[in-house]
Amino acid sequence: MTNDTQAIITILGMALVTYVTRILGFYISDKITRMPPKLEQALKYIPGTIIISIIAPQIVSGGSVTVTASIICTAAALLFRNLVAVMVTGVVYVSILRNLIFI
Amino acid sequence: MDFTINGFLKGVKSGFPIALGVASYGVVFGVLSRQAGLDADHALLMSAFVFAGASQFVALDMWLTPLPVVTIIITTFVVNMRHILMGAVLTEKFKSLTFPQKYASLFFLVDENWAYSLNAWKKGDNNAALLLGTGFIIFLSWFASTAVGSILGAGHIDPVKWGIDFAFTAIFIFLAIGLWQDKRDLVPWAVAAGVAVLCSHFLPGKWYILCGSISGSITGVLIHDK
Repeated sequence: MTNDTQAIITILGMALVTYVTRILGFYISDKITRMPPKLEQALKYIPGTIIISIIAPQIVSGGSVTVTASIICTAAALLFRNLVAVMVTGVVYVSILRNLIFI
Repeated sequence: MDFTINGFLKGVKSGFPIALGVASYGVVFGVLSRQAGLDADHALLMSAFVFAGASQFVALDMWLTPLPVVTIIITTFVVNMRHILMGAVLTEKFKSLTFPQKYASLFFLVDENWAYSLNAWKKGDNNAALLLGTGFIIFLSWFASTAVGSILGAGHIDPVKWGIDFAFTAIFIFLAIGLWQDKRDLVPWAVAAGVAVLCSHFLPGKWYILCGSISGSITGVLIHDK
């Protein structure tokens, strides 16, 4: 029950802050003429650096399997430009190595 | 700019191919949500009310016991901060809209319909309801595909043995490549990676995501945007 309540609070909190991001820039630029340039420049880097920050520790801690899998996924992403194709490539590669070689 | 039912319906219709692409992503989210331990109703609640793919995948990755409630909510905010800039761009287009028209449309703001609508308006379309229409069909697709994925993902398998844990990493590699702007991203991304790896050893939970991202972004501003 507590877990259920926590999950719902988390999801509603996520929903609230996400809606805030959707209206905040609109609301502010509706009120002021221009965003501070430094902030605007920093925000431009945020999406990429967030994703890199998420995956870098995962890739490193997984050792040679995840490092090579990441290189293969990068190549697959550049080649296919398709999310599902990249995901299947990575998952199949990792599961083959873990089942046949490293177990 | 107009805001009419015809503009909305045109958005629904022209957003259909985008919605199909989003559906494949939604099925993946549904399957992974079960692997992460979310009930189907929680996954659906998230897709209906949060409706922001990347941040939902990040939340799944952080869905541990005990649930890091505050960390997930803060990280969600940071992952979705790009919306702030995207929304700022819409101000001029939405000038003539009523309050409910503006703030209902913004709920349906995602990367795909934002890019699509800006493109259509640039080419001469004059209907602000286009964003709401494309957003609405993407929303329906995202919700339905989450349900499908959640049903498919209900079986018991060992996620690590079958590489399912790596699915997240693969998804983010794909997203990162889509977000690459030019070679000016190289140093900020390298700093983000280094700081994140370092912080993951010394800080609890998922704070390394915020540390890596903020230090990488500040580095970008310092070296490239004097």
